[in-house]
Amino acid sequence: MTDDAGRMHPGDTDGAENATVTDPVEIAQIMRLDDALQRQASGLVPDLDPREDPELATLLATALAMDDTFAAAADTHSFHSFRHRSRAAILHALEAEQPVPLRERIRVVVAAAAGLAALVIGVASFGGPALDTIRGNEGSQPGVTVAVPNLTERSSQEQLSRLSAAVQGIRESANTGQPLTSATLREFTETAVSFANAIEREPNSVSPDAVLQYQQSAQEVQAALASRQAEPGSEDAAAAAAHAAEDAMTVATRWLGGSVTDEPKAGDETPTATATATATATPTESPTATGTPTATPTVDPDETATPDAEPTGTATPSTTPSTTPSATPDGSDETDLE
Amino acid sequence: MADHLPRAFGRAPSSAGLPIDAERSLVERAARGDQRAVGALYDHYVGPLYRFCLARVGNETDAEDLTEEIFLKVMRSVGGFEWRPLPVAEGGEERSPFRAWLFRIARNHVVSHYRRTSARPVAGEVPEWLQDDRRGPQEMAELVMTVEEVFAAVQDLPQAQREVILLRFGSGLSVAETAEALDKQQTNVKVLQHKGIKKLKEILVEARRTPTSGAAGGTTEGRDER
Repeated sequence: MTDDAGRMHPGDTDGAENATVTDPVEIAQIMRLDDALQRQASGLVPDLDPREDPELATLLATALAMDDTFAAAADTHSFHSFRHRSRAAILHALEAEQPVPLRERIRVVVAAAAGLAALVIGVASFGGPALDTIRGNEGSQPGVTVAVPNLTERSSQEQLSRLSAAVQGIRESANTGQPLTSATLREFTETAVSFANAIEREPNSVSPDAVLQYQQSAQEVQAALASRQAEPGSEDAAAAAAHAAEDAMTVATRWLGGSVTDEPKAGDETPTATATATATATPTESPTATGTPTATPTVDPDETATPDAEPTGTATPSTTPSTTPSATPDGSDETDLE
Repeated sequence: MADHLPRAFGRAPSSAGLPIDAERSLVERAARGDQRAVGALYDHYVGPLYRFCLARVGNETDAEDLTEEIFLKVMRSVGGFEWRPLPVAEGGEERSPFRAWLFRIARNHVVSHYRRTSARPVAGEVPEWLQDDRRGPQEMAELVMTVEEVFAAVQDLPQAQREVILLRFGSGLSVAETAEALDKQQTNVKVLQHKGIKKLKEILVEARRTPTSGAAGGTTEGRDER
């Protein structure tokens, strides 16, 4: 039928429709196309003259166009963001599935026992009031409706709290010169990835303050990881945390439009002279688009940097991009949410 | 169409950047739970895997989910994977049994996904990544049309041809690796590759002639998979 090298001979089947390929011309074309594709993939020039064989040249061109189209799919911001997030999540998931060493198990059991004991003592000591608080004091105030907070917001707040706790643990280790533990690193990785997902999937559900805090946490962890060693056996957790922090920086920076760090705070030097080019004109799709406000917002160092003039939206290129978002009353309106 | 054809393959050959010995070493380390090796394999395969999934399902979200699921599945099973060196193919190309194994799992997983969800790709839907505003309007117009056409056209191929085309061009597998992944002979892969490209060209030309029928052309994905 065919030889070991895959060369075809008349009578070979195509394997798909059980049709027999008997036409020598077709066989030659199949082999020449494959040869041309192989040469192209190897960086060589295909041995093909479009004037002599326009049909084959068109097929090759079609194949290359298709290849280029597919290749472009993995060269986007969205894909790179997914890649970082997914990498950290996969490493974290696989690490969590690995058998836990005995030392780690003992530590977990002791921590769990301590937590349980604290809970029992807490309930015994403050059981009534504490439980009332949890129940929204419904016992003492019958008929009072307890407002249910926004679940998404609460979720992101909880994630931030967990993130802060994890960062605090890393910070303490760094400050005391202790190696970073895998438990702390994993906690950071998990919460950082989770928050990145929340930002990516529901960009409107998070506030600029939360993203800023997220970004700062990631920065702090990056610094800690750069200066501290992970404890023996936690190198992989440290690598996953480093990836998570890197991705957190990417996601947060993109959400914030890449310029929040330039935002002047109250007490900063007054940008009176350059503030003429600061207010973004109108909420545009791109945070880099700049506009010129008609009035010059002067900022009192004791007050927040909020312009009281309405920008007109005349789009003139700004030459001072460093202060572009500084006078934006609501950063979320100006931020590129992708 | 010839106006904006690429001049060369967008990707390097399948084995570029990861020699077969290095890949084998990574696979063996990953099987022992070495996270760095897992990370390196992920870095090497996430692009081709994502492209394969995206071309099959047509939307980014599902493609991302599938890519992650498939890689996790592969890594959870890698302990049972046995590296059996494959014969060197024509042209001296070294074949990666791991790569073929990975894409065999990917193919089966995507088929299961269709069975599980009864999902069908939305024909003509422009993925979000196409809306990348870094490209100029002219370039965007051409690219969007081209990708829409290519995506719709690939869905219209017979299943055997589509599988070969997606592995060869969506994921960058060589003929030998594609044959291994699909459990076919190299000869059959070459025939299917030729037929698939020929058919794609006809579909694309027809789509250019009647723009409304091309991009919005019916998809046969779900039907074929069942």
